Amino acid sequence: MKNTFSKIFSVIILSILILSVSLTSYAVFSRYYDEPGLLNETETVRLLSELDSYSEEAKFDICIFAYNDMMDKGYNDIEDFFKWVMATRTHNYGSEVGGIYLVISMANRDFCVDTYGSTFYKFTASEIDYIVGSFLSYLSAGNYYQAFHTFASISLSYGLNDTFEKENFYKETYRFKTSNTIDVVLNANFKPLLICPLIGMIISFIIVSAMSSQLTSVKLKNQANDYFVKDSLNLTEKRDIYLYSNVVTVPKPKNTGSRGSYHRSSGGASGGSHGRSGKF
Amino acid sequence: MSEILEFKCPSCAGIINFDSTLQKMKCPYCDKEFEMDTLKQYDSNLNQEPDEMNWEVTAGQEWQEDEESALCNFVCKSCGGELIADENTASTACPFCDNQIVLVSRLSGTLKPDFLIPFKFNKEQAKTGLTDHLKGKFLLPKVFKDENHIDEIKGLYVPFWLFDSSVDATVNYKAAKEVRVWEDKNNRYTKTSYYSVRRAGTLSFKNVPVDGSSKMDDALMESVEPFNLNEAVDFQTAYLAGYLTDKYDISADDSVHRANQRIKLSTEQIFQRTVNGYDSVKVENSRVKFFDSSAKYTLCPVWVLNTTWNGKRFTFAMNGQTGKFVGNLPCDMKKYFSLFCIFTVVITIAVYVIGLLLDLI
Repeated sequence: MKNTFSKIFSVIILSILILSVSLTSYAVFSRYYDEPGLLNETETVRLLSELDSYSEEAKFDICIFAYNDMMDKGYNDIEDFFKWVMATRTHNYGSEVGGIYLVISMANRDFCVDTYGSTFYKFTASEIDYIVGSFLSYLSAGNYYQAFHTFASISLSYGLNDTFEKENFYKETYRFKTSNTIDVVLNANFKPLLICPLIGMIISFIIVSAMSSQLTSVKLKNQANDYFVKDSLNLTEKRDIYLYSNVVTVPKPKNTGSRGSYHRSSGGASGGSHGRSGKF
Repeated sequence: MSEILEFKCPSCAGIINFDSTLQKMKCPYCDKEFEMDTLKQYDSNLNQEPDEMNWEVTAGQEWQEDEESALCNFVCKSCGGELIADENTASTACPFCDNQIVLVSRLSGTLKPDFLIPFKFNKEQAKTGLTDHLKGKFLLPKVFKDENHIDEIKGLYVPFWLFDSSVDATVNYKAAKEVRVWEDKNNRYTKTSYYSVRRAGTLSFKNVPVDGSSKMDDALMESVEPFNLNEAVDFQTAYLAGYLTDKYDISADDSVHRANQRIKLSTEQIFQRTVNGYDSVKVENSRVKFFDSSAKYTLCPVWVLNTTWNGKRFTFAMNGQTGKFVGNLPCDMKKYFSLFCIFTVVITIAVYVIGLLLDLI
């Protein structure tokens, strides 16, 4: 009786363990993790559906993991935290070829986009730059669903090997479906093309103005230094009195602008990747 | 219980109170605290006596009868320009409006110059001066250079008042120096200390020129400065031969204002050179007192060249003693914008390439 009871008890315990592990693994495998609750229920369902369908189409994972504070897990650096997230959330789960991941820590508004596994070869550095540039403005503005949707859809477009497929995807997703096409394109690709000419114009203006100033040689002389009798200066009083001091406080920028900033990672667990991280 | 004294805060210029608890002056607006002695000193520095810029204006000598008769005074009927020439001058062109002028009267009632600086550069050198002046100026219209013909070149003795003076001056400056910069996690702090700096002393100026002819452009005349008065000679009518001479029509009394401005500014600048060790220095107030001041009436040699281009008149001047050539030139706006566009394209590409190389783009 005692044996039977202990056998039944063992089976129950084992079942509970198996069930809990199964449930845990099912939960971990979700392509969207939202600890700070950035999206409402409807948006979460829609985003999860998009992430799943895009991942299946691309044949690699497109995932978004948002955390309250990476410090809670003992990390100061978002790239180290990214590695930890990859190790804990993707190990033995999801697509075998890995994927592209967006990891967010809300406390200090850090983000990191990187690939993991063999997906590394699907994305070039400039493509990841483009992806980051596309969603960062939405992320900075607090438009999380739009940011995540943009990240996922553009990641998919770059993940597709066929150029024709990519072109079609752009046409369908951005030219006709998204009202912010111009914004996305300007933010991502053409900002240097606006800034560089501006710098060029300013420098050119200075040079040409200096050249045109050579044409003007007539001006009033407001001082008489040419007629000062050398060695005639005789100082009879020389006094410096301290008056007061001022302390000027200038806040250090926490965010580097509405579009945020990012830098390239130096590789690591993602295998010499060309990921990007920064603040938003 | 606090008692109130009326002093201005050196920081915010508000009325500052004495805080008997602190035994210091304290500004109710910016909360800065000051020692009483410091404020009194500062306040006394600011309350200066007014400037004393008095001149002994006895420039010029009376004409001798024979000299006066040897000179001719005539007025341009076109522009009213008043000129002096020697007795041999029958007619000439007005240097101001180019009109041909006929002698109408003899000179009378004007002061004889104390000195005269003779011309050292001749007409040909003045022409060469203009050619050199046009060289190396890329934005100058090519047509102006090619088609430019000088309407007329005139050697002109321009009347100048030359002022000599010693100056007793007191200048107060407000100086600032950055003493410490530090930062924490959130902010960057910069501590700046402010000082009241006082300099007093004497210095001298000699031969500060002020154009005595209202018809000559003041900016043009000040641009051809300086003249070397060491080479000046006593006035003799013989030097005027072959040149036009303008008679002064602004008296020394009316010219001192300009001399005062220039001497005062220079005094402040020269004293400021002795204020060292600060990041910024600016003049708060100054007081100058002139002594041993005098003025001389002198004729200075200037070549005046006039040319017309696109209906606009351009006047150039060359210092007849030193050869310094001045005159504003027209700008070719087509070249200006072409050059601007070319530079913009080249620099834009360069910036883009550098940005790519430095991984900034």
